[in-house]
Amino acid sequence: MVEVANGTDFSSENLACGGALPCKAVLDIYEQMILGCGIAPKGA
Amino acid sequence: MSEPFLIGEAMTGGYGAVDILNDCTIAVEKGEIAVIVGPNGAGKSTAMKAVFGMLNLRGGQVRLDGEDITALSPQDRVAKGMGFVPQTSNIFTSMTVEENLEMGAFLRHDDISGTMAQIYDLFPILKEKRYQAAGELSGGQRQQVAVGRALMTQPKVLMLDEPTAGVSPIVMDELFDRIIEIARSGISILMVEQNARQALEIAHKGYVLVQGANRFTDSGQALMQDPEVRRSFLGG
Repeated sequence: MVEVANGTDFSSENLACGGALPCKAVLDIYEQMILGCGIAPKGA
Repeated sequence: MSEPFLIGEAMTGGYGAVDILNDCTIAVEKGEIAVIVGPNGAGKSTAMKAVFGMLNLRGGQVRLDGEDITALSPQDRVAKGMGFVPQTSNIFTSMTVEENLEMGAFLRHDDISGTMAQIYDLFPILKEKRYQAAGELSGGQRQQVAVGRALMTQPKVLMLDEPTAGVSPIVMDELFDRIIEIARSGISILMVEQNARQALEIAHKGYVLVQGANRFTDSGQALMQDPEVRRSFLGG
């Protein structure tokens, strides 16, 4: 699980990323879009 | 002359020790379309990322509606009214269309159904496919999801990094029509485009960048008529 700054669980389930990707990989792939959604990744 | 609604002024910076942007200025007025064009490696996407706060500036300033936002993080800029559509990985592929739009509304705590209805009006195909995984859509439809997702925050400025990359000419024309429609609703558009000629046709303001610096700045129409711009950047 990767937490984001506002406390949201950014697990692969919540992101519906297919569940196969580690969260770091999810952030690597989607970093710009996650920021574009106004979400602050923490510790990524 | 009054202050532009959004301006990245005299931006200098890069990802490491080497500067990619050199005293680069990009601005857009309210409800207008500004387009950044230039050859590969000119720093077009970097300039847009700098405006969005994804690049540490060594010099220059970014101001939105008169407020200095240079020190704000990208996510804080979203809260201030900036929408950003990346060039790649700009949809959550295994989420449905509607879930992608909901992700776009992450910062909102009010009723988002009206905004979602507006986006479905703008892109009717998305309503039809709202329960389908976004990754199953065509390239053009994916771009509609990406733009729709960014509109869910009800931004004042929408920044698009090559929205027509990889789509057919017909789809490109349709996307540009929708972008014009969005601008007419009062949202400023700042767009990086490889399809320079088509983009300048719809641009109120055009910026031609070369090596991270402003080479030509004028209205889209004026740039298209400039012999040097035509010869060097528009294929004659």
